[in-house]
Amino acid sequence: MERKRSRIDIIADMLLSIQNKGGKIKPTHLMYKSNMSHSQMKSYLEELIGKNFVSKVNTNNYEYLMLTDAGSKFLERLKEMKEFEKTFGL
Amino acid sequence: MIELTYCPKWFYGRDIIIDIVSMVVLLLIVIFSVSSYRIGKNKKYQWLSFAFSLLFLSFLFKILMNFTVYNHIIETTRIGYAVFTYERIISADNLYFIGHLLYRILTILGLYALYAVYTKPNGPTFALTSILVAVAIFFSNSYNYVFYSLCFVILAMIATFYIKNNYNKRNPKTKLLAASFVIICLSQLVAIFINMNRDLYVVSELMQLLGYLGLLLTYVMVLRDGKKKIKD
Repeated sequence: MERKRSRIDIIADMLLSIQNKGGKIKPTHLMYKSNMSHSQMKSYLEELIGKNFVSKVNTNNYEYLMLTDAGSKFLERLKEMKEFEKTFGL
Repeated sequence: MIELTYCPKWFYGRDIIIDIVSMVVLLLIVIFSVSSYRIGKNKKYQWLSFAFSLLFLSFLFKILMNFTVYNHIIETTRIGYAVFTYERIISADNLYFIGHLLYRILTILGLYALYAVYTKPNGPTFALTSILVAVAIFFSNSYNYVFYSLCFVILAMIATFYIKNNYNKRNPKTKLLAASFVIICLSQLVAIFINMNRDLYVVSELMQLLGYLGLLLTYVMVLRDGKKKIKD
């Protein structure tokens, strides 16, 4: 059985989903791509926007979520941590 | 002259440089682990940073101890006044034994903490192992081979874990990490016999350098791969 995702795993999945979509994604797509419920995503998204990792933009009357530079750097750091954990067997 | 070191004279100072390199590698891992713990609150990072901090401090005491001894030997030879030389030996001895004791205690505790990261010992096991470690530390201060044997055994157990991890994950980083710890472990095996041949001290130090350079390369590869996958 797969282990339950930690808070940091969920954040990494969200940021990665945005990055894989070219740095810009619709909120509903993010919800599906990162396997989250609506309420779960809302709470995580508030945190990510609060930390300036993600920002909301309007394009052609659609709301999009954009990965900021700080968000990209944080994702890079999370990936380094993932690599470190795999290598050191943590 | 009182015998305070097993290092051959031609190698004086070079072993300090090797220990500084080892310290820098340990410090990089400590900084990475502490900042990772702050981000993810993963307790294993906390233990890892604790273990590597103890090893970092143990090297600090080893360097101070060796620096004191080498400086003392050079000055005593240069001055050559009987009373003055005698006083210097006493003061150097005190510093040496304090540094020596702290170096050994911190090394064994650091290695044991690193081992505990992977074994998660329960209460009784932890208590029993701690008593055995305390007894070993007591004897290791008097007998070199007890200290190096204990380091060898703990490092062998840690290296075994990394070998198993490499067997499961099979990538260049896990392989290099396992190889680095095997080399560091073998450096302790060689050190057990330094009483018999001083040149073995040099061999042990060079193996230690090789092991820590391997650890540094592993760390650099971890950072590089973390960045690389973002661009893909």
